[in-house]
Amino acid sequence: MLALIIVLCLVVIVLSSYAWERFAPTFGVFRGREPFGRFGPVPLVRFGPFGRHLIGLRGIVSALASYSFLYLISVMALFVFPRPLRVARDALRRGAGEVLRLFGIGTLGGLAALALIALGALAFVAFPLSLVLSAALFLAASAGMVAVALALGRSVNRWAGLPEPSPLFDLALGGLIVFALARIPVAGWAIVALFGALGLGVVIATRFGAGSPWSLADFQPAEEVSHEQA
Amino acid sequence: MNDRMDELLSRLPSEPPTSDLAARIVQAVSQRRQARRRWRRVGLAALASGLGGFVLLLSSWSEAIGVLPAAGSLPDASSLSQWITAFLAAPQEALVDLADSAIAWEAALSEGIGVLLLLGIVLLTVGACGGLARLLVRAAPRNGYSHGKGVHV
Repeated sequence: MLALIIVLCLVVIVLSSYAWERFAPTFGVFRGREPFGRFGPVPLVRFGPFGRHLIGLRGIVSALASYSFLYLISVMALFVFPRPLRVARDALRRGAGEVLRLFGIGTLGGLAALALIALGALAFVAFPLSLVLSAALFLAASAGMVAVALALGRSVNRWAGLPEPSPLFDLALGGLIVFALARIPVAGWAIVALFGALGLGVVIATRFGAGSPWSLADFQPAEEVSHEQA
Repeated sequence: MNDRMDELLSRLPSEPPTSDLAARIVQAVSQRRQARRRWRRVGLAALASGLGGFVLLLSSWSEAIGVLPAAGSLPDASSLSQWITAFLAAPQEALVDLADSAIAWEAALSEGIGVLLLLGIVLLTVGACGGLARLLVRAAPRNGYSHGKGVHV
């Protein structure tokens, strides 16, 4: 079963490289004249979230390179932040209701961050904070997607009856599934946006993997807190 | 008596309960109900604010499109390399030029943006933050032992 899922992901990646040439004219209406401004008139739909849709063998090798980069950078993150990523992964495995709540948190968090970035552009001296917030938003969503890939891989491995859990293999499998879905032309953007919102949600809900609640309890005087806890 | 009852009885404190225990329980329940009502109001206000902001953004959409060129007119790679060359040649003048262009960019953005659009972004921000807080507070357990869990404000 596990082999079947891996083969299916590889087929999606290979097909996305070969089928793009055939389907590209269908998406002509979505072509942006100059989506990246000064970078030239490159049709927006020719790009996927994890790289440009190249045709044929070049596309497959490009996908391999892209997946290798994403996997290795995720492995590095796994070794640098093992506990926060475990906390985030575990938060994703508490049922469908909880996943839906995390998705809502991620969507609202992303919306709030984007609106704050827009407002920050008007606060002249504080404008650099908008750039910091943009970077933080990207990093949080990326880290969250690593947690999503871990949780997805763990669930599939458990479902397939894999005896010994390995975070590296969980990440490889979960990452492959996310990567294959992201390679689907046009729809890949929407799929990655959904996973990104979920990832951002889990990062916010677990307070960047700390697992502690969002709280202002530290502002309470010590004796008041001890009285409340008694 | 069965084992379960023995276990429960063994958990009871040996000393009698304090006289104000009942009053404190009633007060705690009342505080919890108030907090729940307060968060419900926060949720409704966030929803109203978010919807209002969304409507304002939709109504001033053409205005937003007009502002986009100003927002997107950040320096590109060639102008950056030109600026670095100028900075290496005359740092003071290059910094003054940079400040001038930053002020011009900010002025273009601030003057280009309309009141409705700005109000829409503010309302949307407030609504999104309120909704976020409302969703985060749901993490608090409802079994009465809520210390250290959920959002405390």
